[in-house]
Amino acid sequence: MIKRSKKFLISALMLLLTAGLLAGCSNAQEAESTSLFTGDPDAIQIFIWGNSDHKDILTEKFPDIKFDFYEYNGINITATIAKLLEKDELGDIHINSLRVTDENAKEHLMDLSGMTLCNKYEPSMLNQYDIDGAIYQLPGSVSVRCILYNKGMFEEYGWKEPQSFDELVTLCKQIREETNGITPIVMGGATCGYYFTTMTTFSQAEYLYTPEGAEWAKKYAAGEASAKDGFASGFEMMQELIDARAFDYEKNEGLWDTELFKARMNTNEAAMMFLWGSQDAVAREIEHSSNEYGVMPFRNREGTAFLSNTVSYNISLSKKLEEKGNEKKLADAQRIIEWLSSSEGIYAITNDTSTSIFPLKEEENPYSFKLYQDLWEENLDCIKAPMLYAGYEDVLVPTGDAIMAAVKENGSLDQIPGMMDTLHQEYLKGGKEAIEIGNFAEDFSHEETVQLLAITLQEMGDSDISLVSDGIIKGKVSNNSGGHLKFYKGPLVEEQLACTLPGNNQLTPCVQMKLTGAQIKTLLEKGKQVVMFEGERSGKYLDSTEGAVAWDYFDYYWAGMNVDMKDGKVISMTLDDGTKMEDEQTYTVTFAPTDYTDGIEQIGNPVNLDYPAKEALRTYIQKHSPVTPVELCR
Amino acid sequence: MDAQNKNPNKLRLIRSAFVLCITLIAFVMVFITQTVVDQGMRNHQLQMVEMVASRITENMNHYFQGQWDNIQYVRNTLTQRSFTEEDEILNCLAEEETALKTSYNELLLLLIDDQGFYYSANGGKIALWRGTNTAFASSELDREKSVTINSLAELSSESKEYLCFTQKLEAPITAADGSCFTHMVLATDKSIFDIDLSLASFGTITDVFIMNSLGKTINAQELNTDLAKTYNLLKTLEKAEFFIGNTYEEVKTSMTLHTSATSMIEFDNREYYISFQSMGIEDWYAVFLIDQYDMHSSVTQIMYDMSLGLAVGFILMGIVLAGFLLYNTRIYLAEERKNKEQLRLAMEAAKQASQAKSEFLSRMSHDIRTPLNGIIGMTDMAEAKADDKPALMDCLKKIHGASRHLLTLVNELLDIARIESGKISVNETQIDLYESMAVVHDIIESRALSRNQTYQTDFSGISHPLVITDDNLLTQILLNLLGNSVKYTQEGGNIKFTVFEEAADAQSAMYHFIIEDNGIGMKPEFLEHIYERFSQETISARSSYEGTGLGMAIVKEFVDLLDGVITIESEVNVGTKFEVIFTFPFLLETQVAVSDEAHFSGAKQSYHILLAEDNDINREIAQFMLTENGMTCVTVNDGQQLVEVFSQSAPNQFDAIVTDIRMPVLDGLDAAKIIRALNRDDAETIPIIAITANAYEDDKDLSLNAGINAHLTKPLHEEQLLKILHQLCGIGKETT
Repeated sequence: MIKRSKKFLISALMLLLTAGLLAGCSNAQEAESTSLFTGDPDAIQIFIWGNSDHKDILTEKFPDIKFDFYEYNGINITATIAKLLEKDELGDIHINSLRVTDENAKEHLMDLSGMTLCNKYEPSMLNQYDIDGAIYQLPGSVSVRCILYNKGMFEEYGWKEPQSFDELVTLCKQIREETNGITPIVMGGATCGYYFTTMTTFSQAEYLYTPEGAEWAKKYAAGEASAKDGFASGFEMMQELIDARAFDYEKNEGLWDTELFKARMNTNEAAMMFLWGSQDAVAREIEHSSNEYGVMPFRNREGTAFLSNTVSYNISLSKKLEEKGNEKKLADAQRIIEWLSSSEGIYAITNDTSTSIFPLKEEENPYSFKLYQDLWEENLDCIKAPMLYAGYEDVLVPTGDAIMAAVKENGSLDQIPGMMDTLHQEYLKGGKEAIEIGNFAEDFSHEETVQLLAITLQEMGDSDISLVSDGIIKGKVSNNSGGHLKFYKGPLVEEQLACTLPGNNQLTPCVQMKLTGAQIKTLLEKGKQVVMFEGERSGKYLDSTEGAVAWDYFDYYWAGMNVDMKDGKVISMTLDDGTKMEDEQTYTVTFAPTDYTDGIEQIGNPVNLDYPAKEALRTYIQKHSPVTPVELCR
Repeated sequence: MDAQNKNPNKLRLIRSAFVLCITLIAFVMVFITQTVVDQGMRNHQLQMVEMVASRITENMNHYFQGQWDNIQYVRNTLTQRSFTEEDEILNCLAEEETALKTSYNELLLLLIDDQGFYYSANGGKIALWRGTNTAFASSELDREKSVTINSLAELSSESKEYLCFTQKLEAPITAADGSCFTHMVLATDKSIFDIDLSLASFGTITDVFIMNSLGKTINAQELNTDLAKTYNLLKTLEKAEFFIGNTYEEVKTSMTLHTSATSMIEFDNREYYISFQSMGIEDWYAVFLIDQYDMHSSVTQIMYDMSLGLAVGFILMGIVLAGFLLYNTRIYLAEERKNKEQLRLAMEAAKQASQAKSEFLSRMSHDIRTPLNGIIGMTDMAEAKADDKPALMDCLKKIHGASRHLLTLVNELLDIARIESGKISVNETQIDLYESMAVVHDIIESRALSRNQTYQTDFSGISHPLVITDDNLLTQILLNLLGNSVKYTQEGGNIKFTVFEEAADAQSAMYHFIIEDNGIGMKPEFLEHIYERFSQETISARSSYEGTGLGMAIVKEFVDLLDGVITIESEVNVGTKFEVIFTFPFLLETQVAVSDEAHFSGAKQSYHILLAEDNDINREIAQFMLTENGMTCVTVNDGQQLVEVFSQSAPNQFDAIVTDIRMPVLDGLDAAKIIRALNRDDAETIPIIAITANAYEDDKDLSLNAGINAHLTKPLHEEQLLKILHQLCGIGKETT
């Protein structure tokens, strides 16, 4: 009787255990197939851009906390982050440059306004993040644009720091009159973006910060207002500076900021410099210079100071951390964000902090470049706004080029606003921003995504087979030119098209190579070798590891053939039409741009095809929508 | 013994449990008291906070209204005038500003033009008017009234914030030069918000700050409480516990309704009083935050001291009560033990008495049966030897001896019964000691002679023979003692009875009655128990000395009744000396000298007696006693016959009536009453003597009340009968 009961009990226990294991396996399998993260429920999930060192910083700072990093090294980081946030797959802690819309913030992010760490932040900074009294994102370090001036020169000549734009113009004229060839203002001439930024900065200081200006910006974005209205003051102010002969374009042409500083400012050939980029490098030069320099804010005609500040990154927490069962994760996340809100944390996360302003209260900023720190503190109540960029991508380059040309020629800027309107209207007519390409029936795993990319290339029909490598990061080795991320259930819009694409340049065409069956077999068995060199964040696709500090192999996913593999060894390969592939036979292979090593390139003789991977993907999605997960080749 | 050991342990357990209970009760009561007081105090403090906060806010609102009134006043002043140029307007503004300024209140008047630029009275055009958000120009200008906190950085290099009341002018203030001002601003010191709640009762950890209805802090300042140092107080309070006053939800609702709320909360292990007072401007709230710990510290200290005092008091009271109960418990237990011991002793005594009684009854059964057996046996023998006169006389003699012995047994038993029932009382009468001694002498002398003992008496020491005492008791005492001497002295031994008087005072004397013999004596161990009932030496063995064992007990009882003292000296095989000492009052009226050799004996008298006795044997015995002494008698069988015979007799035919009491038809008492009531001369005078087995005092009283002159108890003693007849018939009809 007892023996029978024991047997029954053991059988019941075994049954329960088996059921539990199966359920667990099934769940794990399900999680593994769709989530970017490993699925450890206790781990803090963080999505990071592959080039950053946040992973090393956080794991070293918090050795007792389990982390689950997903490192993305594709293109279009902003669209990627926006998509992942929308799908609540951005992880638990977010450290990125995305400024989330109010609606998305309320839906996906945790309100931090109740946390004491908010008290660490400078109110004027935090106010910019206030959404109906809630704080969903915290600003990281701030990059401030200002005017650098030669203090010694000013003192020598008795020039006063201009307190308004008009005074700046007057000073420029004064410099021209009183000196022998000193350039009043220098500005980096290597890119048209600086000229666009100069015009928009003046526009912001004079008009765009007003309620009317804010209203104009909304209408302009919708194509309902003219650039002539919103940027009128900026163009006027630029014209006045051109007319005052503030710039010596020919002397600056082609010079980036650091070079410009060394060549013109430090040689006392220029009195002032609009410092738009490379501020940290310039700051280092300033520290080593024998000249004494000062910085001053941009001012509008009335003299109100304006600081163009760009927050280099924002910090936020996922709303899912507040769900029941996540108490430990929430506590860990709060520890991390508390540290990220300290000067130590900001310093660690920010790539270069010498000119970065910490958004903390005065007593929290021990690392900032003093000139910039003083500028910030003296102008806490001035007008602040980020540099204009988002929303103006369609006109930025042409406008910048046009202004640059006018500066070069000391010409007129009158026609430029009209040109901007034309470009913008064309852009809006194209409607490319929010066009829906197609639809995905369900979430893809990352492997299914890479597989699909290979299939999209194959379906273009140019080659016998197509290969796409797995664009992931293994340890310190990053394969940038493989397939990234994953597709999500639902519509896919134009701007998200490039998120999963191999490579960094969505316009570069794919290539076709001719490789033997044996060479193809080697690629399948070995994968693509990526090597890392000291000081570099991106991997190189080389067959040789000489001088490399790390290297690894990344699997190819294929389309157009069937492969029988066992223990990582190819047993047989057969084209889709049933033709057995021979080692000695040559076959055409489509690759995504740069998705091969130099060795393969040498033997394969790549020929550009007439489409980039983006087009292949678009074509496939439009044709097969709604797209369903594909069978993995490996 | 085990029961005795258990009691101390049980006592300790009870004591410990009691103290523990009292301590627990003390703590519970203190806790309850503290909780109740604490709750009441908190509610009271909450009300106080609400009251203070609302008052302060009310004052602030008055201040705000005052600023709007000022703006209204200045606006009215400016709109009533016409201006040609901007400077005139600004000069006028400067005048009004000067008028409004006070020594303690910095104030600025500003105007905003139709382009959104603001002007100061003394500085002219300053800059674009910006509101709270420094990034953009103010959108508040669209509203009729707005209040903002501005730094007015363009106006002054000082780092200072102003409370700006901005009012849209119904009609712009214009000048002929085209100047047009659409808004007026009164900027005042923000220090109105710097409220110090550091009152003694609130402690020092307090904060007052301004927040909007979304929970965001409006004015930043030095904050003392950790709770206040958050960006959004309402968000922070989601984690707080609201336990007195408004709940969190009610607070949030009040924000939408622009009403006030006050609560006591716990946050991060600290308690706070927090009051949200709706201000009269914007959607702002004045928040009053008081750290409860500091607020209550002094009061809490008092409360804790009081609680401690209460607790100590309760504990002390408990200890005192415990001690009192312990003391009472000990006494109770001691009493218990004592009672138990007494009970045990009583049970022991009862057991012993029962055992003694059992032994006595066993003895009595034997002692009574023995003479009865002798009487019956001798009677049978006498019948058998009726013709043998010597044998017959021997039998009769033995029957007589056995009968007397049996009589002694019965008498002593009756005496003990009378003693135990309390029916023996001292009947003091005047007696003549000589006469009493003579009676005793006669009885004892004959006993002594029968044992060939020498019996001597010495009464020469009596100076006052007439004394007042109970003759019966005295006689019984002496008879018992002398009887014991006779019994416990071997044949041929010597017995001496001496009585002498020792002067005590003028009216009484101490009379010593000494009985000495050279008998078997008594052991000292027995002497210790000699007065105990049923005690006889060597009782375990049947001795040849017959007796009840009650004699000395009776002697002692009677000696005590007469307030006497008895002492005994005895030595085994040497002899015994009894000495009884009484203090009697004596009389001096008559003294009768009586020789030692004198003895009383009844002289034969020729009385004619009427005898009533229903028992044939007793009637025959009585008749024999009378006729043997020369009397004649008529006998009847019951009281009825007695009455008939007497009533039919001639007056004084009879000299006396001797009657039994218990008789059929009519008892002796009723017969006596009837006789005394007869209408004849001798009815009242004839002596009536009762002979009865009723031996108690009550029986005597009944007899006397019935008119009976003398009461003799059976068995009838011939000497007593003759003496009474002699007294009543020979010396008149006196009662005895």
